[in-house]
Amino acid sequence: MKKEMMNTRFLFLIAFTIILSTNSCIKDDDCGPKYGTYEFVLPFELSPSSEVFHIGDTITISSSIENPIYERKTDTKYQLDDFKFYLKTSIFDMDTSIVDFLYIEHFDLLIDSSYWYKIFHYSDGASVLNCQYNFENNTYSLEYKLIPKKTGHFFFSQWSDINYRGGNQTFSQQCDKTDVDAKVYLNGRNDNNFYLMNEAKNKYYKTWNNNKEKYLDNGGYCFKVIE
Amino acid sequence: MAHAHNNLYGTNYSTMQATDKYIMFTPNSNEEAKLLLASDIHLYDYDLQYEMIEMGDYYQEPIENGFPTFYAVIPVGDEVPSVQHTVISDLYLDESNPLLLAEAYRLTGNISDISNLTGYSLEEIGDINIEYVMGNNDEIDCNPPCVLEYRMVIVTENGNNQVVIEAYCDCSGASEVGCSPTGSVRKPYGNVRVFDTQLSNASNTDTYKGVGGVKVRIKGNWFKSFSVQTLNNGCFKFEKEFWGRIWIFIEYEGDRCSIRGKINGWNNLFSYFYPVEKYVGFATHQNYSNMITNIHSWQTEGSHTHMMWGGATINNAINEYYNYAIQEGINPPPSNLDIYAWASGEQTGFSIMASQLGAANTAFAITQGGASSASYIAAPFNLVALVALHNVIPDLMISIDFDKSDRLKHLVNHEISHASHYTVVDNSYWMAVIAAQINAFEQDGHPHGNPSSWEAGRIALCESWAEHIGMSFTHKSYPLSGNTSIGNITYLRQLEETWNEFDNHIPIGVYLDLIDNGVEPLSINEHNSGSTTVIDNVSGFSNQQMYNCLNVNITNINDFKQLLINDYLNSTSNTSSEVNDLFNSY
Repeated sequence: MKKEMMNTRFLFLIAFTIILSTNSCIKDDDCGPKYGTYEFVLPFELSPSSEVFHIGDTITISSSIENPIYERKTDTKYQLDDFKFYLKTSIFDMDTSIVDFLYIEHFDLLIDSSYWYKIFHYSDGASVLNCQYNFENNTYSLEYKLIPKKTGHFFFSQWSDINYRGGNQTFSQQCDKTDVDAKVYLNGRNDNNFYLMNEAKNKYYKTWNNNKEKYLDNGGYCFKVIE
Repeated sequence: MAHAHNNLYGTNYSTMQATDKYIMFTPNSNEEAKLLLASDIHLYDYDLQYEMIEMGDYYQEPIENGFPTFYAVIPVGDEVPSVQHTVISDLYLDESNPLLLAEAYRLTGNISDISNLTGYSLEEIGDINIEYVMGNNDEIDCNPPCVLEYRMVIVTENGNNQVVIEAYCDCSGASEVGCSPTGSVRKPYGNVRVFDTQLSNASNTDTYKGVGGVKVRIKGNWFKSFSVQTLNNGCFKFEKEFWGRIWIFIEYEGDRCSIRGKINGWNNLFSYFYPVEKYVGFATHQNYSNMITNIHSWQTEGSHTHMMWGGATINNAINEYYNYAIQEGINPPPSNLDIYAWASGEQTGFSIMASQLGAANTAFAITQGGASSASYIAAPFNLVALVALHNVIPDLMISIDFDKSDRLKHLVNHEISHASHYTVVDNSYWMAVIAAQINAFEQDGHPHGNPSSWEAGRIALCESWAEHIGMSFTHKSYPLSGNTSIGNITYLRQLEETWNEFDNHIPIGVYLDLIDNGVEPLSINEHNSGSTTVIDNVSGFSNQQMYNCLNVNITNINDFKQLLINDYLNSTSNTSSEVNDLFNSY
């Protein structure tokens, strides 16, 4: 049975959740994606695609997707109208001794004021960029630029937090009891200099060798910044 | 057996004194089913008098929506539960004398069992005319840590086979799985471990995580079962020696919790009550060392593998919660939690604490909430018309439809934090929580309701605290961004960015703001696009202090805030004005 506009993601984190009666609808086991979560694909481009940037270079990150949006588990496109994908940009400084240190301020940010965006600062001093697509003419679009200010090894990641933040959004063809997630394919989900994880001064990033799929599903891209 | 004894020792017994009774149970009500399970008797769903060609996890008597027949071996003198039953026979089950066993096997023509006892093939044993002699043990030099052991060997002398009981020195040495060996190859030891999608490597089972606090049960060749509980690292060892063929089972039943769940296709009512169990396999040799059970990830919803993986992951999350609760100075949940794992297609849970409240209180709370039908709560059991609801509602219901360990543990931590909260309030308080959330569901279609829901303050307090602990404790298990499946971010950072669950309702983020040093220009609601600038100039409170404010008199966020100020503000450098500003941001 198709979804009856009740997203189970809405219930995911809930402690005391009363379950929708399975008697109220006919569950179609063949409907929807495996594990009950749709994984939409958001293609992004990082250009120029390079291993090395200089301080002051301009790195452009952009995405333009025309509806319907491709979903990789069902291998089908679905119409998603004005979804909020809760995009996050994190840039790990891989040369500091602090593990998982994200610091967007190592880069100047150029983004048009027409986009919704905010920089969030964590209590430990780290920071990320939160932003949303603009949805116009049945097309999702986003573009911003980063200008490096510091040398070193960096691990850029562009990803979607829709699974946590945007769980109550639904689409017309959605199956009952399903959830929505999105994966960012950066530069066609290419390797994107993954090997640079091993060159980082902080050896923690070598452990990411076991996480390459996660790297590729969350718009991972490694690069060096030199003078 | 008497005949065998007479042959060996020249006695003249007509029978041996029974050690056990073989009993068939035929429960016919929910009450009897629960009583049988509570008895801690090892139950078999097949008649042990029939030879099992291959034991499996999937055998069930085909009693649709009824209770199956169960069989058990109970020592003479032990109490038999008040469940409808029939004593099938008296049994003599003394496995301590392998010589007696071997002779009994020979007399009954079960030469294959002698093969199991000795480890020799039937071809090697050859002629069944076997003599039994004791070997000379005097010349064995066996120093610690090696131990003197005995085994049966075949010796051919003058064309005749003899079974010789000989001594040998067992130096099986250090564990191969990090678990202590038992000092005897006939005393089983090993490890139970589960695939953690975030921390394990699927191609290297040594990276799987130990499953602590579950039961490992071994059924010997002669009816009786014996069990031990795994340690925190998943290791187990038996102090009892086994001979011949043994069958090994894993059951999700321990001191902290019992996890039950219905596997797809199992339609008798007992399957709703029975702890999740895995038949691991059997061993036929004398060396029972290093028995490893690996529980892999699942592919098919509702499958036995799904239930095993989900149950093991829930079990591990609970063990981790106990550790973290000690670290933070808060109560663990009540022991012996009754948990129902639901392979449903949904990702949800509830914490009714039914076995703690009792059936009458649970039923009253549900009714008070105004539930027009109990079917919402009964959905995981799909039994509304067949079983009185109070008999199947667990303390916690947790969906296991997750393909990532961290996400399932997040849900478990959330639910367990409710159970921990329950320990510092009373039944009336928790019944009000149940009633409020059922009422919210009836009114709004969501159990968390909205700021105008009946008892919204109570809902907001309980749910925000549970989510705070849920994410904080999940972060402890998966502390690095590379460990999580929620994007390239940690659970703690995700929590730090979180404001309310809904607009002006359920302030998830306030607790971490009371602890950390953050000055946060932005926080986002968990479930919608609302965001705000939180005025956070507060730090230095602890989870223990906040937990201490969750007593029976605190039924909303304002009461909680005021008690926190009264009792603990002076232990920090904050002012009451700063604390008020923070709470007002939510």
